[in-house]
Amino acid sequence: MTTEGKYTAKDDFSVILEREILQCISQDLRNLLRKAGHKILATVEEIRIRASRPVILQNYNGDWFLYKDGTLSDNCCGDVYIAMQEEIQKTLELMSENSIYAYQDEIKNGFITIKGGHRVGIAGKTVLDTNSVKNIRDVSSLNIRISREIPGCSSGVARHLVYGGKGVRNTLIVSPPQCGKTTMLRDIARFLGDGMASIKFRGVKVGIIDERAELAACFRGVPQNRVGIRTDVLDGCPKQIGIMMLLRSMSPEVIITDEIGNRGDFESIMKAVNSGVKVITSVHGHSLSDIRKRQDISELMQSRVFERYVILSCANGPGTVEEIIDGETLHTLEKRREAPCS
Amino acid sequence: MLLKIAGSLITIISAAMIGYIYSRECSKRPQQLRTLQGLLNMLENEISFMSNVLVSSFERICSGSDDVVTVFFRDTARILREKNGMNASEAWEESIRGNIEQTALNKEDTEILISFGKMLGNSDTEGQIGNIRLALEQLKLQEKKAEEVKAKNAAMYRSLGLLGGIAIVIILL
Repeated sequence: MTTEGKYTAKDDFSVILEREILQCISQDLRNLLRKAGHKILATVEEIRIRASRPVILQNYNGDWFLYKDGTLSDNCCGDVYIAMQEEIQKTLELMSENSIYAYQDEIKNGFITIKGGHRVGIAGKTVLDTNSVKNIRDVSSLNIRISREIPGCSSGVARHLVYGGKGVRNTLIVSPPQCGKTTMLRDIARFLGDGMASIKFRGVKVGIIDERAELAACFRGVPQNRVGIRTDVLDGCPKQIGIMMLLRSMSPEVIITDEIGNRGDFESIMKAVNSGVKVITSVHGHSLSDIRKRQDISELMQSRVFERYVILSCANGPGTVEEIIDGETLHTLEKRREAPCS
Repeated sequence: MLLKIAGSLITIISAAMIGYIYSRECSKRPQQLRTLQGLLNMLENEISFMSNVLVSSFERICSGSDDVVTVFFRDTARILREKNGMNASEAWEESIRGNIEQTALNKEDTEILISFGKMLGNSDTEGQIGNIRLALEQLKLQEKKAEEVKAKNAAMYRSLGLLGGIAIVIILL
């Protein structure tokens, strides 16, 4: 069964913005943001609130300062809106549903995930307990990263990642920060789990290890994003442990995880591949030669684990597919086209 | 004569009843303070063991009770559900100020409750528990005082009612 077409009616982004983000922001700032044109808000990737400094909205064009009259401008002078620390504290309270204690473990790690899967980074004075962070108090900066589902943004690369009715290729997505890596990965999970009729792909069982709660964006355990109907999500679990857990417990056919980095991650990916499970993952980097410099990854590359490399960039906005490379021959299969994700 | 006796009896009985009702009013406050302590104890459990978010904690602790003081929790939960930008302490204060008239609580109790609300939901679990314990201790003291007042006043109102009734009868006779 495939559920294509179900997602064609995209939710109006301004509704999402209102319901999920603005409702968590303290009153004054919320009203100002409402006044600011939806045109820029619709493309915003980050809202950064820093104590005693201007509020900055960021989209792929750069940053925009919020003025006291609700206008946005790309230069900072005169009547910019300065956020107060109390406002930040209050915003954090609203985001944690007035229950900071329930989000303590997340705050310890420096971010919380709010309903809708948006991630809010927190910085301030850390309270240490011997050598681990126990709490962050006197919060001075919030970074609201607006997560955007773009159903269909992986349709351009889909045909390269799968073969036959059920075959999936081990894939590594290489992307600089903020270029739609997570969005792409999420959509890949969705189409793998749902199936895609246009390329005659039946769905497979997908397991997501969502270490930083970004991919599926679980809110109280339930994925907030569409990650496919055959998809299981292990939320907040470190990749090494998570991959082994999923292998044992959920018998996935594909494992998807975001931003591999350390040695342990690579080892557990090898384990998964060796036990016959396909892996789709992502890594920070600008090009293949860029990541080849990193020892751990170059080992993985040499062992020909990945059958496809997808290189992303921001050239035509986030989610531009720069190149798709065959892992075996390192031949380019496809070059940059128009951005499917902007 | 018979009419006079009947009239006096009715007067005495009704006066005694008024006294009785007043004396019962006195026992309301200690009883409400006790209920509040019970609710706060439950809140402590919700926060420390279940790590439930505030709104659902409030709704849960109210679900088993229909005592008048649950109105504070219900109303706070309602305000927070509306999501109009109020944080927990503001919502709590509004709910206390708006509903205190319905209860038998006095000004001192109100102050304790409002200062309890200042910390509501904005700190870690330990902070929340400390805050709840502090409020519990203060409410216990208030309950003790209220019991003393009750012991004094309840007896007074009862005898005042009865004696007042008799006095009226004597004067009218």
